[in-house]
Amino acid sequence: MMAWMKDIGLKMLLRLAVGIVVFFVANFCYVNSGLYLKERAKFSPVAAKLDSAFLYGDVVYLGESSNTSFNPWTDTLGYSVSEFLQMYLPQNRVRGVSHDGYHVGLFSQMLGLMPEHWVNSGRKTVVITVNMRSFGPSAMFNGNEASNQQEAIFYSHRTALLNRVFVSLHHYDNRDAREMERAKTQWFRTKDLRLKVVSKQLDNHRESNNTEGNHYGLTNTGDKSNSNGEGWYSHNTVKWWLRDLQRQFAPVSGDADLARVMPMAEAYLKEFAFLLDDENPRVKALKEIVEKCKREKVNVVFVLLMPNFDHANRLFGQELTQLMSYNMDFLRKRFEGWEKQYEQGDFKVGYVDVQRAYGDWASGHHYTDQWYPTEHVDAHIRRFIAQKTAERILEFQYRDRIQTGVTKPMVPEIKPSVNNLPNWDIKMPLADTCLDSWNGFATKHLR
Amino acid sequence: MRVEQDGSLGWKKFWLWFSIGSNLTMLFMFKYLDFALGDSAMVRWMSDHNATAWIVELGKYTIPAGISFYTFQSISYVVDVYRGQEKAEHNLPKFMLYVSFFPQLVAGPIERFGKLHAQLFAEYSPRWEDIRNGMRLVIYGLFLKVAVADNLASVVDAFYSDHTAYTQAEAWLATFYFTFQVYTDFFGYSLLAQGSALLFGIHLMDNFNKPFISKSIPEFWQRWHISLSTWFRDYLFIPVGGNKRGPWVLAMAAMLVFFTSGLWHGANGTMIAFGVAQGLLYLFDRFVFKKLDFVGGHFNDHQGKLPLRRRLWDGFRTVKTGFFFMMTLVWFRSATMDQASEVFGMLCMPGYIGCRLDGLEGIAAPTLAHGLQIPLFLCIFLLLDLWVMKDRADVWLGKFSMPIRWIMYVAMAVSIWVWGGAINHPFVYFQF
Repeated sequence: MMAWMKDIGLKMLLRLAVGIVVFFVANFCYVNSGLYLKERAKFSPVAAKLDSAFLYGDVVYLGESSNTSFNPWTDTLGYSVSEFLQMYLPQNRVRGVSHDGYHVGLFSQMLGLMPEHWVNSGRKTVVITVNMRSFGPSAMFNGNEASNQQEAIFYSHRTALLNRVFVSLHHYDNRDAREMERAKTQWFRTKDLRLKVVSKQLDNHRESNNTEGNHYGLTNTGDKSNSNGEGWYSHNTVKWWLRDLQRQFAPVSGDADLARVMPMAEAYLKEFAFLLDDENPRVKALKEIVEKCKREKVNVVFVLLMPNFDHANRLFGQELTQLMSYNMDFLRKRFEGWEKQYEQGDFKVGYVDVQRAYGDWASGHHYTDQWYPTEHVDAHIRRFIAQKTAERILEFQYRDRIQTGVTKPMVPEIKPSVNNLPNWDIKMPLADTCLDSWNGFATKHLR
Repeated sequence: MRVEQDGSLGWKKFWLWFSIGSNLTMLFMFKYLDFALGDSAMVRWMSDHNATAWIVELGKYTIPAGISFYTFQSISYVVDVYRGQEKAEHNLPKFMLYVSFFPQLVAGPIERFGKLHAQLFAEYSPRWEDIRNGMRLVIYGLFLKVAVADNLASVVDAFYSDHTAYTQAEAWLATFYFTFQVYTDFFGYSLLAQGSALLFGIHLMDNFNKPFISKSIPEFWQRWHISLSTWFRDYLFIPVGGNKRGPWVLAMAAMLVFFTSGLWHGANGTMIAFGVAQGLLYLFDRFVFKKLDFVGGHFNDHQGKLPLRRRLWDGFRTVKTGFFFMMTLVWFRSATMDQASEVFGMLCMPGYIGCRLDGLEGIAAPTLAHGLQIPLFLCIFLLLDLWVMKDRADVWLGKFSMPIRWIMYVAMAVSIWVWGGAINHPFVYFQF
């Protein structure tokens, strides 16, 4: 046995060595011919923006579409959150990098491009937008995720040719749209939506007769309960919820308004009806972000965006909003924990809870996508997010004596009466009118 | 084992059909039930009753990879045992290894029990020749898949994602490219499977033998996906009559084989249309076109070099065969019958210019992204496959001196590393 091992092993090692030499020579040619930069720009346009942001920025805002989306009809002030943030932090260089459909999993990988001068500098900050919806199956098993993951290969300082080899051999989560759809459907069919609560908590909840937005993670006043006091609503999976919705809609399907709202209602269920847990890959990505930033001593501020609770509530009431609240609380607890844990020392974690800072749910008309559950908000709230984020960053900087003087924001005034109230003359009406019809339907038909 | 051990022929037949039936039932449940039921009242009833809905959803969400391949492999085993050509395997893990041997599990080649089983359980002693040849097949297979097929796929996918946005010339280009995409994709996979198996000293059968030099569709199918073609020949075509019982039986048997082959490829109308079209072309070549052979002039093997007239005629037949095969692949690639009809319309309608001029001035028309490496790699492959390589890649590479060989290895490796197709395109035959 040893004889053949010696014979074959030697030949294999020799070929492996030649292969490695060829690889590094090819890498040298690949980089020095300029081909790598060209391909990097082609396969991962965001990577070059990140390089620039990390090179010139003191604060880098990593966001998704909510950073830049604005409503062309009602929202005349088209500044993004990161642009507002720059106005609130004139002594800092704020750079925003954002793209549709990005999420904390990608932001975590983006931090791999942090340059050396950021490490241990103690004054740099990354702002990570956290979109609760992006933790759910519809976002996680999105058909575009494979292309996002392909781009993410370049968010690293590894050998250039190795990045290209990974692209060629599809060494990333390369599930196609059909496989993603299958995984999503599997989730909808099997993941349990029932929030179990102990009887005491349930009783307390019933006594206090809480309304929406005030039942963080503990309550479930559903229409079923067992002898242990555990309660839940009728729908234990998204699949059954959707099926019920379609069956109940069938008898009244001639109503034009309802026909418009139905796809929206389905989208809200698919996007928000899930429960977060520690195994969720995006939750794990949050932890990775904190670990990376801690290692490099770069401050991090999480901005927990505000989902459209108003429309969710008008569509499905507490049955859906309690799940959303549970998930928001799940994330809040994590951020609060990190905030406390890293209160002292060189490395700091901050968090901006937009919904709580705003005081309550924002009214549905603040959302620019009236017919789909996005977190795209008007300038009024974009500015608010920037303001709260800036306050958090300044808090760090004053504590570290990076900022000592008075910071005077240079933010244009927003006049809600002029440019941020719904314009009822626009061609595409807001969802409110149709949601009123839905209200009658839901009262009569939905369980 | 029952098929082998039961004394009476009746019981043997019973167990044979029981085994074939259970294999096909599994295949049907996973792959065809959804297609067969469609949106019938029964499906709606089932989806309203949770207890039975899983049967319908089985095929939608949980198709095991390669089920079509190993179902056929299992059936061939049972039939061979029934015919007395093979002895039954009494050891279940050994049988399972035969069915699920990883290099050929997901997309073939569909190996026969006798050949694979003997190799799997023979005493293993690694041979450098096998490992070296295996690595040569793997690198050439990767070159075909990553550098040729995936690059072609980027053009083909772009076209089929919105075919109406493109011109007639682009439709022809995409159709031409798809022919070689599917060939290099599946040929590449087969070489990878052969190469990986060879690293363990297992020799798998060749699945392709230069199909595009075929002069007729019957010859084409002797050179294309050989393991499937021979499977159909041995277990369907010959048992239902073959070519010994006159032209009508042959025609029926051929149509049955090609219809089944289409169905095997996928549970939808386009695949069935592909199979039926292949069957009709097969019959056309066998019964009609063969009669025109006099055009090439009389020739016998003792004459030595082929006369010009014969060579021209053979060249025409080769081009004709490739062209017909290329056209039937429109069904193979299209998502629906409607799309196939529209693409055929684009290809065949004289002067078709697409919809891009229908009042859409000012809107940038999409063009098929077309890097230089795509035609370059395709030309290199065609040159190698049609003219240069007379043997299998590993044997052919072995004929060169070491420096030339290494130059070719490096060229292939760099092509894979630097110019590999970036679009995520799974092996075409994985879906079957």
